[in-house]
Amino acid sequence: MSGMAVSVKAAQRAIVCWLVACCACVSLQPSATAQVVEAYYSHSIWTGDGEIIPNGVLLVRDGVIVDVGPRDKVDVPSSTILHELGAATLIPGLVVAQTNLVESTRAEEYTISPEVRAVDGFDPFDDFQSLLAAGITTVQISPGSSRLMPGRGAVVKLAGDTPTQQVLLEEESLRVVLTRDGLSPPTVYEPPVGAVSVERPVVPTKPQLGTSLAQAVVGLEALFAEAMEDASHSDRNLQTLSQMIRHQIVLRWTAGSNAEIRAALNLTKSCQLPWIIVDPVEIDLLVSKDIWESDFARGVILNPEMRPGRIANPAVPREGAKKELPVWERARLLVDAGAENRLALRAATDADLSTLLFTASLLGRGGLSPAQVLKTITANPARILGVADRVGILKANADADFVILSGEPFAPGTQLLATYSNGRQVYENKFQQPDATVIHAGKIYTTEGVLESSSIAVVAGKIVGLGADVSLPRGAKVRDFSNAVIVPGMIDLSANLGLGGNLSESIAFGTQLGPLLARDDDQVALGRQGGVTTALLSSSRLPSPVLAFKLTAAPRPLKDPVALRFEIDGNLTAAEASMERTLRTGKAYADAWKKYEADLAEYKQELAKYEIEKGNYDAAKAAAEKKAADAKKVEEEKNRSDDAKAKENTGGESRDVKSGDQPAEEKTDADKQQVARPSENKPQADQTNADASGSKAESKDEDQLVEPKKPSEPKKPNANPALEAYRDLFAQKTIAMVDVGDVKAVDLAVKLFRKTFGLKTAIVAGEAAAQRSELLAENEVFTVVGPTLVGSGDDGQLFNYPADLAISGVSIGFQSNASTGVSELPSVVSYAVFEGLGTSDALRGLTSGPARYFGLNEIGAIQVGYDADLVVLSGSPLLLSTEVLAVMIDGDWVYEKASK
Amino acid sequence: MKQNRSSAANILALAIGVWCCMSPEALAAGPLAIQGATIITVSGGVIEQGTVLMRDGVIEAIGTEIDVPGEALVIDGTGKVVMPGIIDAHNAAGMSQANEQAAVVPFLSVVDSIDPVATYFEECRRNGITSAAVVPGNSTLIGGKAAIVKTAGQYVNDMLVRRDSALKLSLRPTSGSRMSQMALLRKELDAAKRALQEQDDGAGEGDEKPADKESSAAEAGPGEDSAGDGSDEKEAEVSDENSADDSSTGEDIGLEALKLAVQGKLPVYIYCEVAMDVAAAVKLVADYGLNPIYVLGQDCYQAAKLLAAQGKTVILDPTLVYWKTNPRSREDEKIELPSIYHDAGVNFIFQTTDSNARTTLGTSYFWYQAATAVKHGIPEREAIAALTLEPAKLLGIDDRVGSIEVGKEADLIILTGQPLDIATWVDMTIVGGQVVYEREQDEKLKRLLSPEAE
Repeated sequence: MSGMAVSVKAAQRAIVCWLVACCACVSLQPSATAQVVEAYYSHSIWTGDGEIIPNGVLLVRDGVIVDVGPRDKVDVPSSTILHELGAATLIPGLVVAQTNLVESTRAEEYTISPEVRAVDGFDPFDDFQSLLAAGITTVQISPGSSRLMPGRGAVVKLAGDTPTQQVLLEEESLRVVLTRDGLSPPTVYEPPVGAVSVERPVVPTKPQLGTSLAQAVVGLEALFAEAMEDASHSDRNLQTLSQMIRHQIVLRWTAGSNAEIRAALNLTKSCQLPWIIVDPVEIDLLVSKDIWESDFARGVILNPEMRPGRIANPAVPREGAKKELPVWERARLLVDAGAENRLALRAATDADLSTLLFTASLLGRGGLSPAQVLKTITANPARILGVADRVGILKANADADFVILSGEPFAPGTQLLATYSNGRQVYENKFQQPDATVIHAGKIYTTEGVLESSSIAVVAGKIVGLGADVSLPRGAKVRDFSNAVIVPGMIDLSANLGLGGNLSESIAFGTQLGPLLARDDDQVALGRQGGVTTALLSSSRLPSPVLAFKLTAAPRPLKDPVALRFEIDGNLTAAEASMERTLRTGKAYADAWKKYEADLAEYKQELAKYEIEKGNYDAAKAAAEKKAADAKKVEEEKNRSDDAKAKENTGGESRDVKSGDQPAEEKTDADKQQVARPSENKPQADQTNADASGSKAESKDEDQLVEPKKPSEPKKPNANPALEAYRDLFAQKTIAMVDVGDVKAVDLAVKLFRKTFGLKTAIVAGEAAAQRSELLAENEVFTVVGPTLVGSGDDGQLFNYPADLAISGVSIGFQSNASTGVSELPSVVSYAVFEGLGTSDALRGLTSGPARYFGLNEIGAIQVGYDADLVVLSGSPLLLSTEVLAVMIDGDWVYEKASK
Repeated sequence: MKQNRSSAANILALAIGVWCCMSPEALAAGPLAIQGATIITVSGGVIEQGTVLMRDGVIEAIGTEIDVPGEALVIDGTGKVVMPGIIDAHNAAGMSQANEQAAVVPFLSVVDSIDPVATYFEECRRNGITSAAVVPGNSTLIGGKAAIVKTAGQYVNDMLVRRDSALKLSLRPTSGSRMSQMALLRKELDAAKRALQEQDDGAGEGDEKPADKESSAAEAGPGEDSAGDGSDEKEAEVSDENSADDSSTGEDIGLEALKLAVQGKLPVYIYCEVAMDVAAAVKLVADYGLNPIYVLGQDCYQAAKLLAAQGKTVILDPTLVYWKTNPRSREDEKIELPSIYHDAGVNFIFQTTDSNARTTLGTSYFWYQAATAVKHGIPEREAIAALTLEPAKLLGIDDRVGSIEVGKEADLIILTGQPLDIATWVDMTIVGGQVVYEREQDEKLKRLLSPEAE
């Protein structure tokens, strides 16, 4: 079990880029040209006979295997069509040693019918797609399973050009069923005679066989003895039987218990015929070594006794009953007894055939290796059926029946990708989900730490799974980067990318840059190759709005604007004054709106309150009026005649009048309410009713009702598009980025933006910021550095700005200010790392640091729910020696290093 | 028409005569000519404004400038279309009480059951069918021997074109599975083969018998080209053969037809219900050297490729276009048999009745089948050939009927318009140079179409 588990892990990682290979297969599929040679290269080839060829190639010509072996040992002719299957595994098409896949719309009547041939009931035009999809290419078909001697089986392929081509063996074996199934119905061995006619004369009934095993065996013995003695029988059964005995037909016994198996072996021995035992439960007689040295022993076919997806309730064994060995123990014992090459596994029922590749791994419990397990559904059944020269084993001159798996057989997550029969693709797994990917990696850098040997599952551009063992999205493409390191996509805080050229015009704050982004920009394509997946864009003429966008083929704006970028330059006194004025104007505008919004919220609350009160008031008023009217009415009614009175007051009617009145009242109330909310209407109405009845009970105070005052709506401030951007800025939804030149300017920026106006501030500076790192840390000012990160002082001493800032606790981010050079940003940072900046600080500065500070909530980290922006590196991040292998943005591979 | 009032009257008289007392003498009546019609000869193109001259039941001349002898009865064909009589290559109608019970009856002959006054034959004449192969139904494994008849005649012997024209096999199981059906069928064919073998072995011993056998073999084979014989001669031949065989082997009569079948001398109709039956049939044909006529059920189209490889003309199911639910996708798809077989390269002809002589079309609406095929992309010329010359070839009677050619039997029909047009009526049907149906005299049709009819 533990051995299996380990191989499972390994297999899970050893998977393929199938799509590329698959496309190649489809496009290169030849149209049955006779002499075309095709070569299938794959990570490993399991021949089916126990051998595993790593890094192998399978050569196919005209539906037949020409050669199979390791890449360097096989001569591939020059005009060969090559199929590179990557990390896929090739196995032979599965062979099932017994099925009932025959046409049987009507039941057979005779208990013994050796003349019936399963091949006559094989429908080559049936739809075998589900079996081909399960990798099954060859099956034995049996003419029946519930009669003593149902007839002769055949071996057929499930795909082929002509029905004749599909039949491998017309007459494979004669089946005898000794289990209870074969003895039922126990008494009817021949159908009733029926109408007598020329073609159905009255003939003496055949000797009736008994209902017990002993009786059936005696009958069979007599039958075989008779058949062996004389070939010229008039009896149809005997005739056929003696012919078959002469032709050394294999006897296929369904026998479970020791008694049944003993009877089968004895009968076979007396006729000197080869035998197959199917579904043995007690195997005492089959585990003696000498039995497997005989040439007559064709093999044993085990029933897995399980049906995937269904749970059986085994009977509680009777006391004293012999304990049945589980099927995997039986398999183990049989292998040990020398039946390793004669042991096959079938499916419990035909409905379970498609699960055979899974069910077979059950034998692994008994300690069979995966290669041994594969044998029981490929090479061994082929040998038992006598067709091993053609199917079941991948070897030269055999039929090119093979299956492409995405990984090792029996490993969870391994998908069957395609099935080939006679060199022709007969099934292709089309359930590839184009936007689902699973990436296996040696190391994954997450915010919580580094995960070793883990996987990331991506669906529709989002990370949906992360960890050592992720659930596979259905149809996901699997990429294996076992030796690689994955880090989150990086963020360049100032890139000159996305518009197809430089942006140096002055741009008003109200302008949105997102819609201006160019599609399929070659500069973007080049820029993202270094691992930067998100960039911030602003005009080089400040101030300017800043856009954050993804470097996809159709660039996707993330936040527009994400920041407003200012500059403090020149004469600082003048700059301070003008900057302060600018910000004050902005703040005033923002405050006005803020106040308006607060007022508006309050107004809405008031209004809701008013509506309720008004409703109450109206209801109360109406009730009072009604009361007065009612009083009047009563008075009038009193004056009427007794007859009329009796008529008016009959139960329901008077109530009808009342309840008819009230809804009308409610309606008028609702009409009066200017902003009627349907959900509130009902309770309100109930309330009015309650109030009305209450006031009726009190019968009081119409005069004291005071009409509530309607609150006045606050006045909207004038909108100014140029200042609109300040509202988010002062609400701290966007960032103020401030470019500063020197230390004084740093001080000013901190004072003005951070202290005075309380903005979220990111200053863009180099050396100057490093000199004021304490100030920046104290005020929680984000610092953007780059592209120069390391400078040298007068004395040749190197200054590593980001390292200095990081040590002081300042959050840092990086910018390239480049266009296509964005790809160099990680290399630039790697120099700072080389000079002492911590890798994790540097990586945070490239990913999660700016993402969080700038409010880009779905990028910058490898975490479930985040965008699938990933960078695959050949080694540890931020080393100059590490190269980028691939870049994924939003679940799409946007860059892949060309393979060698 | 007015000008030919007298001749029309003559024809009427003649038709009644034929109707009342069809006899060999009647067949030898005077010449008959159709003038001024569009003649679709099938084998030699279309002749506009043409004349067909018939004498002694045989076509004597065709063309635009034919001298019509004075004694000939002349039918004015102006504005009308003349084409060969339609041939029905497979139907179980025309029999009174066909066998549908006993499964293995190779010795039965439909001739014993053919009813000359069956409605079927009347319908045939009304719809322009002049020859029909009457074949045992699809419900029996080895159903017996078929016969080809003309659709007009008073006695079966008058009608016979060929007795024992073919043997009928049906692969549709009626009891047990297909496997046991096939086992039974193979057993019978094996027995026939073995009997032949024994016969040959036995013949080797005697001196006289081989010559005898050879001559009988040369004579035999109704399916072979023994051109131009009269039906009577043929009949005599076959019965001779039967008696000879009976005396020589003394085996049960059932084997005789099977023996001829496994020698390839007697064609075999093989009814295939589903596609897998086609595969089984092809295998049988290869194993036993049969000379097959494939009669197909609806779903056999899946085996179209396999059938194309056999190179035989097949008989399609009566329902040419139908809807089928794909079991996996649960989607309905329209199956158009004519185009499927045409695209696969299978030559086909039509039938109108299914195994149980049921039909939604009426027993003899062959033109409708052809029109349906044309609707689904089959060239009209081919569709018309599939009504006439193709079935004649398939049945091996194309030397006698199937096209309008000099020397062939005068079986033709006069239509009021183009053959595949729904508004076209069969105006007259001529069998053996005699008018056997005339629409003007068709009281039943008149009653059916009269305003008082319900």
